[in-house]
Amino acid sequence: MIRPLRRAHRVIVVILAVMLPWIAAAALLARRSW
Amino acid sequence: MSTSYRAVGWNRQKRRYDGVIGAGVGGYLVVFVLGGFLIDPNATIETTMIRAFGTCAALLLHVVLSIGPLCRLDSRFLPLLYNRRHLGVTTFALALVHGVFSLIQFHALGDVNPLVSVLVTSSNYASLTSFPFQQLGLVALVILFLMAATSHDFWLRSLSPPVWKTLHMLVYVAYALVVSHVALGALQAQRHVWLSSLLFAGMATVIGLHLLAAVREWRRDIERAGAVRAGFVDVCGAEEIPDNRGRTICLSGERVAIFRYDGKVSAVSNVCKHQNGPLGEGKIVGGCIVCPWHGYEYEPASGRAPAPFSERLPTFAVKVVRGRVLVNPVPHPPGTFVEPALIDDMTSRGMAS
Repeated sequence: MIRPLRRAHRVIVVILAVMLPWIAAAALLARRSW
Repeated sequence: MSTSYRAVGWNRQKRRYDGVIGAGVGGYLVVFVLGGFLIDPNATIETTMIRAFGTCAALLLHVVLSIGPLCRLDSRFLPLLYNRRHLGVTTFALALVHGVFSLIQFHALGDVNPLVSVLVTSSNYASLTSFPFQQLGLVALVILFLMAATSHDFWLRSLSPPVWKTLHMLVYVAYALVVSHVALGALQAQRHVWLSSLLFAGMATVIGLHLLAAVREWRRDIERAGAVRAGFVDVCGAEEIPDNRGRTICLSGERVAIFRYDGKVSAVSNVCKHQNGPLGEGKIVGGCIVCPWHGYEYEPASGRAPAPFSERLPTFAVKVVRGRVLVNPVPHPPGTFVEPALIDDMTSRGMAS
């Protein structure tokens, strides 16, 4: 992959790895009916 | 580029691959609809179809996103990468059917345009439990549409590879939107634990594979970067490169493909001028490096495509000393001839024994 894109790819993956589980977990804990 | 180059069209392998995708998607939808009625007999056909197409699209998106890191972890997955575009377009088609069914079911009965209705019905952005999750799905669908519409070499050429690749990296944004769409939508309505378990298992797979591949590549890059000095860098033993094959190494953040052929060694940029294909995974045929993706050819010593073609790769100065290959990490301008390094007799004898 082209060098700046490789760097962007790594940054995106790290952001997703931190952000997505947090959003999903927050949504799961917030739901009204378990 | 080779004189026998032809654009990748339909071939037997692609047809077989598309057959497997079609059969897999068809089978999934049938099993989901029949199973859905058994589990939830009160669900309407529209609801079941929305669920079937939505889950199938989400599943395929996970598969599409896993192919890249899987290929970096194990080259046996490369045939999947070669055919990934069709899987991506199929994902968009399934997501579109899911979106259209949802529009009809939830937004077509009012006096507002259904698309406007999606955007204005709810604006409860501060709430997790009643967040307007359909808007997230709509934005993801728009991104998938842009990607599916440009999934052709024509668009790759006219947009240029860096722009095209940047556009297609929006798939990660689409993935984040889809996960949020499911977490804030279906997950809020379903009591079953299986949906949340599947969502987390899918995320763990996609993110885990990406992190695993990144860590492995990062370690490899660090090892090599540590050896970079002002002059030449010892990259490997000449006997470690199979005859008429290449080896890829990372020098100063750029990948370099080193080839061994006719008792000589040459080094060029690993990035093919056509679609950034990995030249180091190609081989030497008829004295030229052949890109494993689409067969573009380059002379290893000069990085030039044979006449009448004009593609040129950056080249690197290379030496073989006591069987060790040394490469200067500073690239020469594209197309610069560099005298290939001769593999000395001692190394040749070592390789013969």
